[in-house]
Amino acid sequence: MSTRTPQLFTRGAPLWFRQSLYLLLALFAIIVDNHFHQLNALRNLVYLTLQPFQTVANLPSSLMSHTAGLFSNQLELAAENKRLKLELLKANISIQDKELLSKKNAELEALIGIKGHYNTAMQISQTLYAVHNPFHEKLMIDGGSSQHYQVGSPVVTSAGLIGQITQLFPHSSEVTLVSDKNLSVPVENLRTGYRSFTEGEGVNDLFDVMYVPITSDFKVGDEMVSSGLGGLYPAGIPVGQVISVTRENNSAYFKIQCKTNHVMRTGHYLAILSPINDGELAEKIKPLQEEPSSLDKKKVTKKKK
Amino acid sequence: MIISSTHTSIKKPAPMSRIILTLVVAVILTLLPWSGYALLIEPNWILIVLLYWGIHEPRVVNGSAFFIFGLFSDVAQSSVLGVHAFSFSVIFWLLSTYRQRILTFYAANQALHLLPAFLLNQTIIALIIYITSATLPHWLWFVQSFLSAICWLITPYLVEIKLTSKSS
Repeated sequence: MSTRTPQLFTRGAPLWFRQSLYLLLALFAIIVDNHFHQLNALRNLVYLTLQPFQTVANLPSSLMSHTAGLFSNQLELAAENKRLKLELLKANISIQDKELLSKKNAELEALIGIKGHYNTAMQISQTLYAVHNPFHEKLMIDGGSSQHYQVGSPVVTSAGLIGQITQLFPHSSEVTLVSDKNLSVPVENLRTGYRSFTEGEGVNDLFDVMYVPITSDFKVGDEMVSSGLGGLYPAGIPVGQVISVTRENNSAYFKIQCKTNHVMRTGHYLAILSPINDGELAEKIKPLQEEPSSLDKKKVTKKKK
Repeated sequence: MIISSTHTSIKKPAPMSRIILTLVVAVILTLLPWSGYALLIEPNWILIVLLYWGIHEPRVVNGSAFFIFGLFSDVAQSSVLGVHAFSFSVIFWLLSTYRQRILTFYAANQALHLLPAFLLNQTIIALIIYITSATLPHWLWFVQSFLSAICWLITPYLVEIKLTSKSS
């Protein structure tokens, strides 16, 4: 207590000096973190300090789900078991179908010489909590750099794509959702095959499909799946459903609003697909780059003749 | 019913445990799994408690505390590091200029004087995030400041009533 008695004379640096120092430090942190992403050690340190408080804050919801599990009766469990068995049966049948198809597909691709294979290796994780940020739509999930997760990995649930890993901590990682304003996913309309890309709206699990001309065929209820362009997200993963198609102020493009398939924020299982490494991606792009050059050569030889 | 610090006689300095406890409660309130609109308009608990102690115990909760809890807010929201630290430091600078003046008011008047501080905090954060990542928040987010100012009215009760009952 004696250390905090009022002092007659101020000690240390004057206020303006101290506060400008803090402001400069904060500005430095903002610039370094935003442009060079070099402050992960500091972020990890602060994150670890906050971890116990986060556990306490998550206690009520985890307790609720725990007690709900405790008091679920036998009838419910039996019904759930039956439902799950049916789903497993259905899934197994569709997998048999899929295996046949993928075999055929592989043969056809080998015939034409395209490499269309994706890494299907996946890791199973669980959502921890929604990140507290009014500017971004993010989730924290279990497991991080210690589980060899990678930044950029697509994250999917049974309902479809939910987003991409954007930040790694030792034992948890941050997933930016499809509805985040800064995330774009190349998508395809399952009904018409029209390809475009998404842009998140930032609220309520909504995203827009961008730059769709008003002449194209888009209807409310259309399923959007990932198109596989760009190579990051495997093709054919459900992303969302069109909920409104409007045209604003004689614009040449539709405003197409979609809702993501996932609604769950905590305590649910999800799969992390491994991202395609750069070598594979380069291999895919290679044939496209070579073709025009070979054409040019032909043109040159023709001109010479 | 209105509490004013000037009407009580000379106060003992608040015990360190009380300051730490209230700050911990503010951090936990912030980290609760809020979602949707509740997340948008949730009062800035950390800033409310920081301001309270910044006014009443400026020797303990000083610029460093504002800066460190700013970093905590940044990591809790997983925003760019330093955004909250910057705006909290600006708020502390202003606060230390107007502290004596704010101390003479009743809680309601204090809330009115702190509302601009809450709004300034949000404006600075929104500006920096707009510059760094070109995203603007939903307009409802600014309701947060008004809710924070309303929460300011009950903050002295929550903190001080417990304090007197403990000391007596």
